[in-house]
Amino acid sequence: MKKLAALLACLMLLALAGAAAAESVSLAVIYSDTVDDKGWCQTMDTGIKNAMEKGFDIDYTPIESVAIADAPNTLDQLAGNYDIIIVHGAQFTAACTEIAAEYPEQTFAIGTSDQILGDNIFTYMPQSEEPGYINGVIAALTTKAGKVGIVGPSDGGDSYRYVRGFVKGLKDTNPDVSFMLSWTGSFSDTVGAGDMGKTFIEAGCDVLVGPAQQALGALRIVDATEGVVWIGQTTSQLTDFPDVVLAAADYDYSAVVIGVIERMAEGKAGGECIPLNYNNGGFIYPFSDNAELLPEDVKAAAQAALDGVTAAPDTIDFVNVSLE
Amino acid sequence: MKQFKLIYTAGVIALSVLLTLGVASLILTVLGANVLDTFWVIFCYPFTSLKNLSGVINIMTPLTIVGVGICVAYRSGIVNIGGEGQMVMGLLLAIVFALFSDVPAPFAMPLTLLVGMIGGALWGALPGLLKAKFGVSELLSTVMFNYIATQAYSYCLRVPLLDPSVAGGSGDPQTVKLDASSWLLRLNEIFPSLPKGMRFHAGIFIALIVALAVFLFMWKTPTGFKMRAAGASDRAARYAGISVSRYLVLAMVISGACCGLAGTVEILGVHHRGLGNCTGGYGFSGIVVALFGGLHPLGVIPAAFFFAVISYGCSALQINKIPVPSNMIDVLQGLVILVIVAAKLIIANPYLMDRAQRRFMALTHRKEAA
Repeated sequence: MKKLAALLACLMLLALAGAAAAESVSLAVIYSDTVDDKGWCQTMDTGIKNAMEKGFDIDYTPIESVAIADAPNTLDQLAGNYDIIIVHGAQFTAACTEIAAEYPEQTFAIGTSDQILGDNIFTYMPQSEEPGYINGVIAALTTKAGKVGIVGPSDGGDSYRYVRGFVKGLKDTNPDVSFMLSWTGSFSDTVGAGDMGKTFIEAGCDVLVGPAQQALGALRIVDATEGVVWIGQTTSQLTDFPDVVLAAADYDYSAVVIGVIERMAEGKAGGECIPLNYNNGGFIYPFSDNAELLPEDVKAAAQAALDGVTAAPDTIDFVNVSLE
Repeated sequence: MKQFKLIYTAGVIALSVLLTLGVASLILTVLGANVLDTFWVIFCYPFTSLKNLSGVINIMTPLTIVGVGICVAYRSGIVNIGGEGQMVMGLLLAIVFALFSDVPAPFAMPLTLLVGMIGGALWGALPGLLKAKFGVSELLSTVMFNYIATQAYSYCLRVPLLDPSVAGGSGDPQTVKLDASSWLLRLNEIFPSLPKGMRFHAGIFIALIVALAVFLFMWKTPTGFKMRAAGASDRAARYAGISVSRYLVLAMVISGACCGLAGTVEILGVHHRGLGNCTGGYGFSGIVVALFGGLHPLGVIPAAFFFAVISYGCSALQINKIPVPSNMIDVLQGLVILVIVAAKLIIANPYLMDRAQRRFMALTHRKEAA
């Protein structure tokens, strides 16, 4: 009898979970670039598709290549027509908070930000100091020249965290390794990133890293240069450039999408920040299978760092890292 | 002659429309999009609601002001490609003024607009002076000044004017929100009885006043006449005793002031704070608008409206789930604008019309003779 009751209870729970997952949610996402940019936008697009594969019925509308000046108009057109509007880019924060105030019934999600921006706004913040730190460990153990180049986009959003996390991982592992850092000033300037990568290589850097979709420009230069390697920030970099990419930290934004849907099912419309970290499955970290490219001892050290940040999230002190 | 001109104009317009529809239809068919739906969204959707129409007007506003500024420069014989930089320097100075001055409410907004105009005027005056005093090509200097202005603005956003709430990496570099006393009010806020959903702000009235004022100045005052004379033929103007270099600098000052005003209006009416890339490229699109408007301040108004409709319609394609990739939307927009501007130039070219008329006459005479 007890077994039968337990079985019935399990079946009811499964049916409830299935019903929650099966309820269709309309979702519009504003992107600053195209969803095949091999970087920032593609990771969110993949995250949404991952959430769909996990059983969430999402009616998904991507709005690509939205300029900052057009964002208020675009948001105004979308508001009121979707269950959730995700604004994927910190540059749209100002426009989104203004429009959100005019549509209190509409749920928005803005990334990246760790602020509480309104009762109908969720924010999400990739704690990118974690993948940055692990990449820093690998870079310190890989560089032969003792010089590493960081192709930065803009010192804001999660790039701010990533770069400081990287420098901390680098210096914690080997304080003697020096680094060169510069900013293209844009998250999508692949040409500028390519020029910067070339300059770093000419200056003697043999390991390069760079966050955001702009980094692809520098990665192409690394791929065309002998003796220089890259530590990536999206999985596709690892598959597209297998000869030079040692590892690639990547986001899994399904954690954000599912997080927002679940909170809405609980009756929340916003007013909360959803973090992305290794602990909650918001990041993944695949390594290169090429043992010549990534020796076992380096891989083991990186794995140890990965285990450390997974066990203790939100503990890397990136704020006090000096970039001088 | 009049009858032929009418036929010629109608023919060019019909051919342009057919050409645009043909090429765009080919692209859309290859992409698997419905041709009629796509054109409906681009040209008709902007008129389907007050919300959409007010979005169009918000795009039209900076385009009109920049376009008028570009007209002044062109008409005076100097090509101003520095509208973008002048917009940026205008809005930067306006933001600094709005953030750090303590002007009471009724004066805050007009004074901020004035400061924005001064910022743009000063930035416009520099290439004007370089051209007038040293013969430096304005094509070179205005483009270079764009870069300087953009980078200076970027630095200010990231360092001295950075909003402390985003200093820790949470968000994109921006300034704090400007005080509401300096904002350009929306029509709903001025007239609460108007229907909701109208986001357009008082900047449109500023744009219309600027266009009218510049027209009156350029066409109805002796100074305006001298500037246009210098632009039409600098040698003849010099021979008539007009100081061409002085009016050249003045033209760039007025042109820059218009662009600076456009940037300030965009900040005070739409964004309410300093943001990166907030000019939306209007400093460049304003050049096409000015050319399309026949380089006439009043012609710029319908031209800017038309451009705003296309821009808004194209940006609405994805929202209306028309399966056109975002990159191809820009291609479509460019194609429509290119054909229309080309058609306008062909219609306005008397040589081409004369040649067409001769051929037409020859053809009809041959037929009559036969």
